[in-house]
Amino acid sequence: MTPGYINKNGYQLNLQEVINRTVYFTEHTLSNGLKLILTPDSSIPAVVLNLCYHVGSKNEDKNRRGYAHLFEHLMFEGSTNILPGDYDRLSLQAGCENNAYTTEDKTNYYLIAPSNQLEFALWLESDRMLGFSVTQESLDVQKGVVIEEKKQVYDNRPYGSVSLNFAPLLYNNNGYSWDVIGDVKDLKKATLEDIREFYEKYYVPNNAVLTIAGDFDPDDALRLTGKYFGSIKRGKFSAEELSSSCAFIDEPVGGEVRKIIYDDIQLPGIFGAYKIPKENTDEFLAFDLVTDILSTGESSRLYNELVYQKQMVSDIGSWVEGRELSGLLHFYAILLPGVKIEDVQTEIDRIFNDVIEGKITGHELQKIKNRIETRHVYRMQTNLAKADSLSHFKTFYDTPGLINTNIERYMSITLEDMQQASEKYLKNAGRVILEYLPKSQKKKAVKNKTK
Amino acid sequence: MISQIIKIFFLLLIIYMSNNTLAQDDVLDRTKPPKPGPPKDVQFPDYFDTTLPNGINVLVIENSKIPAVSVRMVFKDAGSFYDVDKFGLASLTAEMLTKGTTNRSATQIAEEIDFVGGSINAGSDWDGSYISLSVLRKHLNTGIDILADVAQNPVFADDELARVKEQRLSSILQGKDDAGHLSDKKFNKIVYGNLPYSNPAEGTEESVKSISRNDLQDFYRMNYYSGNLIIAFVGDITKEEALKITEEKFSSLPSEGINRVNSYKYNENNSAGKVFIINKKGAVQSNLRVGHLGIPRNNPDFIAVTIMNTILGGYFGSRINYNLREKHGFTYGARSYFNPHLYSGDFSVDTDVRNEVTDTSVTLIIEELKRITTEEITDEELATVKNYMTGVFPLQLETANAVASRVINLKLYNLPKDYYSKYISNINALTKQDILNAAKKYIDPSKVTIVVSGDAGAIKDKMTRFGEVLVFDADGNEIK
Repeated sequence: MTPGYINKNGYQLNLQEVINRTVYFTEHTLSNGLKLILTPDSSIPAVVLNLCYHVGSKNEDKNRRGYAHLFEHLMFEGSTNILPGDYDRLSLQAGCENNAYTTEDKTNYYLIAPSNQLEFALWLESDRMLGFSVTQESLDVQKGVVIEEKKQVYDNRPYGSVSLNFAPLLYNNNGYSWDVIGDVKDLKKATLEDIREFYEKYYVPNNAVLTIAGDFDPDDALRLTGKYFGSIKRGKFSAEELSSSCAFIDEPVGGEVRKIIYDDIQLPGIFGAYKIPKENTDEFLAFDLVTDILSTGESSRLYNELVYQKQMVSDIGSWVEGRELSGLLHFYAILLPGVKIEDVQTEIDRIFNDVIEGKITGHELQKIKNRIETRHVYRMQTNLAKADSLSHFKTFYDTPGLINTNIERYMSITLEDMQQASEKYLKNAGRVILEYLPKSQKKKAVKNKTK
Repeated sequence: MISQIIKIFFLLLIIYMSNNTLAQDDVLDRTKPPKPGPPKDVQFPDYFDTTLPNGINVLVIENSKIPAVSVRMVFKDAGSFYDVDKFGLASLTAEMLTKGTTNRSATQIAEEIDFVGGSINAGSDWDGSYISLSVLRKHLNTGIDILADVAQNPVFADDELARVKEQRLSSILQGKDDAGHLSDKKFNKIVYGNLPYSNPAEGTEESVKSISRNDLQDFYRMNYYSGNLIIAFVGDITKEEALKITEEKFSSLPSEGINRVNSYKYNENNSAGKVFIINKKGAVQSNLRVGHLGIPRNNPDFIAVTIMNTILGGYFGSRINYNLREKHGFTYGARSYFNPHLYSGDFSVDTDVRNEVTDTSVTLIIEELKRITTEEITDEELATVKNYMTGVFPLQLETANAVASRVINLKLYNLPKDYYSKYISNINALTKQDILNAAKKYIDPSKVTIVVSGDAGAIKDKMTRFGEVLVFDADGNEIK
């Protein structure tokens, strides 16, 4: 295979020139099954703890939607030796920054501490893996907070309900059939017992990866992690049992599924999604490049043709969403006033069709590889980003080294790879299309009907 | 050589992994937090700072951690403040810089910078206009050529302007859907009175339609000149390279701006004690702003005000967030801000709460404003915020671009050169009395303006307890 490609300007760019910023790390496993990754970097006197639990909304029962995320909130509400409210209070007092997020597949916590507070950080973080002590009062308050989060982020925001509408149409009867935020009715009926059960099952050392990144001595970090995490008991189930308990049976989307949503918006929008192979497969990476070629930068196909040349839309984009057991290729466009959704759809389909027929050029491929290289370099800038990637790759693929080797995988993708993947997964494929229309058009539609 | 290191490293890795049971020999008391080690000193990184004879201020923030360079051009005091009655002019002028030069079309600019995986962005805010380049070191020459071209040779072509205006009009239209945006617009309008900050920086439908190519050219000639230009070179680049580039590539701007005037005087508004509702029928939350005028960025009390505000509502552990979120569960989050500009600033408490508790939330917020202006904070509150600000300071210096933003701010807002080297010691010198003084001086609970974007039908009656309630539509027109 020849890695080089001579672009139309005549200069050659090849694999050997690609910058690979190696992130050095070591891997360890505690006797209770907790996986630990250490990646020292002393450029600033701070240290990041990134703790990834392999549990997300896809592990929820279908009448307990949103519990994984509610649980993320509750993890800040006290544990064996930490009183309610003290996780945040103590962490701020020690000069730390903390936060967490939940996806379909994982719940990820981080704590960034001044480097002289590493032991404090390990103490604080280990305590909430050690034991559950959430009170009914905290549960009630956090249910209220999460319900307001849903309103603020999904319900009261233009086009905010897209992911809520997509989930049940894309996935039928598995853990991806609902959005991470869950369902208000389910959330309201969550009991302390439900929450404890969830905690005891998933919040165990053998279901977690801890990455420590930043300014620390590796021997100290190993010793201190052993000290605070080492005595926490293994969970009832092995990591394999936990993964396999979440049965995932998925059907392709049958044909084109369309839904119209009337929203508080001025400009209509179209949101589409195809199912593609799951994250970290070669085909998923090929689609990552395809979508970048379509919409990253003003010279990209969708932007250049539909925003710039034809002036049909104000915003347009396409990207891949990788999950542990599935992948999605998204596209969307917000229309300029007076433009019809079907016309935009026709244009987008035409551009996708060009991809399927192999009309992407070598120049475009090289352009996007240069973009990927820049992105790769910038992503290595902060310890938080490095720790997040290492935990992620360890949790799902048992290969944290992907942080270094993925760039080579991207660089070896060919035009044929992209064409073949597109033909297989996009050509005449099932898809879900959401049409967002202004509420004012609903009244018109009703009036027209009665006439 | 490098591959050898990697091989050795992987060997070590295998050894580590085979020996994977860790000792737990330390005696463990989990009931108390472990004591910290000695704190490490945090130094604000050194940087190079010089002004060339043509007036260009060259800054070099050198850091070779990643093989990338950013070049940030900042035209100081040359932003939306100078829109006058053509709201949106500064931002449209900046946006049009990358849409065609005497050497390159808009399409060529996009294609050339995209091909090397870089980016060039131009924009403006109240206090300046900006063009920034971000590119891998190996593509620096390509990036500089395009940057120098868009900064010095823009053509502001009519057909390109028509496209950009069309896009801008659609984003103004979309702004009417966004509760937070509507609240900000109304709040600024009222609080800033006759200062330019009261105007919408993105423009209005009317103003954008009225802006012509001539307006852009005039704005450009008035505000883009070497005498107010800062060029910051950030990342994997030396000062010698930076100076050479500046002299060779950025010498064609005039040294003075044409027809610059700044004659604004502020007249106090008298809207305190009124409630402004922007009606969003069917909204499931109320988006709130409670506040009044604040301070400019170079106010000598700025650090004391920042610390006071952090305790009041500036971070997760603040009084307002604790009260509204952690105690009552009314909201996903609540924060207060002193939002500073060059000539003035505003202060506001921002949150989204459920409709039924809109009035209760305002009452709780005003109580917190009264408390911070009448009672000393506790020793624990002061110690916590000092530790927090000291602890997170290094994180604000982690990337070369984050450091550059701070250095640029020193210049943009005429702050002393040692501002950041003394930052932590200045914070640590503050007393409870300093905090109380700052609160008394810069917060007045009796003068707050209340703005709500929400469902007027659901909240209007309850809001009358705070004063006269006026209801508006998304276009800003009063609904009687």
